[in-house]
Amino acid sequence: MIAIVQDSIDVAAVLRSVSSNSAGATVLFLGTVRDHGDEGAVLGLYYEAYQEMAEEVLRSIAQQAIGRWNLLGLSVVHRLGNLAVGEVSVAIAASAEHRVEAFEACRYVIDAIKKSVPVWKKEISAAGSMWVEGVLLEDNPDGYV
Amino acid sequence: MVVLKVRLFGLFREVVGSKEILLHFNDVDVTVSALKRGFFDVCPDLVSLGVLFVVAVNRKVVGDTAKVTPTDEVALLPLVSGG
Repeated sequence: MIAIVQDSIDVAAVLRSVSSNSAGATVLFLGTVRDHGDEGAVLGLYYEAYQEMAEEVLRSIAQQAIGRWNLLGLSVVHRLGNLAVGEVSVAIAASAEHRVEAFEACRYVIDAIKKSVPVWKKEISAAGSMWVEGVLLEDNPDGYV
Repeated sequence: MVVLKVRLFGLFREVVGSKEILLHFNDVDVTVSALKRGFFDVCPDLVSLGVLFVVAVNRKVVGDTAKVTPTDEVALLPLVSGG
């Protein structure tokens, strides 16, 4: 399951989507909205994406991870729009025969998302809102991290 | 004259006030470098902000010497912050 969605992420469905009887480990990573940033208290985040490109890059990252760690299942879901503190912005689930592969794959995918997927977020605070100073997008299909 | 439709996101979309912008060029061959100059000519506010960005053509990041045609899908991508 590779998706960019507007509504709440169904974390249970993401986990189910990677289930395999051959798996000895399933790792779930959740990115969540925290209540503070560099400038102080945060009320929520707003996400937007270049959706067509973001989906293509997500699929490419997933293919790399599946091949590199011999995964049995991998799902990545990123949410857009307005999120409140505590809500899930991104869910990554990886299943593999052994835990090391599943852990490493999840780490790879979230690091790759932060560098290579065209998504932008804005912090909403009592004082106003501000685009988060991110990184220059890296396009590296031979290895995202 | 060549007219290019350029998609905008994040800070760029907000400052320009639109999800896309039309840029006009006298040259038939438009490079990414010329595209950037054309963008700043019509959006000088972004020059003063000193924002870093890359250009995507047909959903791939390209360098300054790449050519852009009206049939290409062109987008300006400021610093990304997904996850």
